Amino acid sequence: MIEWLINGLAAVLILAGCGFFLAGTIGLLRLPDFYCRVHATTKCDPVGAVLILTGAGLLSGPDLGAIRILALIALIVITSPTAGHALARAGWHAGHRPWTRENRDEPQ
Amino acid sequence: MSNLLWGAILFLLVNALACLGRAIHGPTLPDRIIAANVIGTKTVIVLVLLGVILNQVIWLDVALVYGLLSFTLSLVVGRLIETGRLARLEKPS
Amino acid sequence: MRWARLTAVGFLFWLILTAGMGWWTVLIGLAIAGLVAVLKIHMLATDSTEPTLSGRETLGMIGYALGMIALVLPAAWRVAMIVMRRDLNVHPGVLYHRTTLTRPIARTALANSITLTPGTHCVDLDDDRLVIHYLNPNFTAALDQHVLERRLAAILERPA
Repeated sequence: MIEWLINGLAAVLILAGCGFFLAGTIGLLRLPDFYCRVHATTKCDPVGAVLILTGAGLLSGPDLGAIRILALIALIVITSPTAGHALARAGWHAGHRPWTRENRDEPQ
Repeated sequence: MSNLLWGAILFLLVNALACLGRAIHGPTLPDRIIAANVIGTKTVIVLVLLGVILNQVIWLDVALVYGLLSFTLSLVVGRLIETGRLARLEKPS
Repeated sequence: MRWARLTAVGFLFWLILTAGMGWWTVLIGLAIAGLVAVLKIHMLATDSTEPTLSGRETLGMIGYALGMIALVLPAAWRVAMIVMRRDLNVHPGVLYHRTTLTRPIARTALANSITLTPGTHCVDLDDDRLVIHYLNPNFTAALDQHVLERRLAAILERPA
């Protein structure tokens, strides 16, 4: 019974995480410019990753693997937004102007 | 359960391929790097899921190192885009 | 003193990850942790004179971070909803936001929080001026009301 419950919860978490990853990918492909794409990747990606990793941690059970999965969750939660911010800032300082509805005809 | 995990791995790999399209096509350099960053996150997840399926902890170590390297890559390339060089030339006073 | 603390943190992390792999990994880990700590201090030297957080401020920041978790889920959900729409109804733009926070750590926390709130993303942090990119203008209302800034000021900038 309890095992069935844990497996079910893990399955739900993994499926939800896949959904967020799909949203991140679609955002990366569809949004008009670099700054908008950073929105999709810094929000959807870590959430999806944490959901899937939690599900995987539930499946693997409390052993050495669970510690590594906790470390991975911390790693992704910290690094993914930081990397997105570093790249956005780099693009800003390199002079990439953001896309808006008004200047859509100008080249990037 | 194993079927679901394989399905998730396949799904993430298809997603990573789509992101690769952005990395190849993406008009500017930051676009390509952000796509590479996203592919890195997906790869970490795929490695973890493989570790859970095969029940081997070593995959998780590989995932940890891969995640750290992927983060370092983003920071270094971000710095390269921003300043045009990889290291600071002189110390700040 | 700083290098000893950094070594301890790195060594602890190493111990957690290599639990039960023999005594020689412990020695190697200690050596590597010391090396990394020394390199970190020499190569990433900052001239910051920022005082370290007091115990109370640390607790406050932990509570604040937990509150942020409640923010990031709806943020990801709303971005997902925007992205899935057929007409992709985005009106992106950039706004400049002047913050009243003075401590560097408070400003950094504010920038990270803005990145986590839905539809806004901090691009640059230059002194007291934040450059913020938004997906839709109606997402910036929370920013104008200075909710997060007041919460941060209450934790970190209590008048002495």
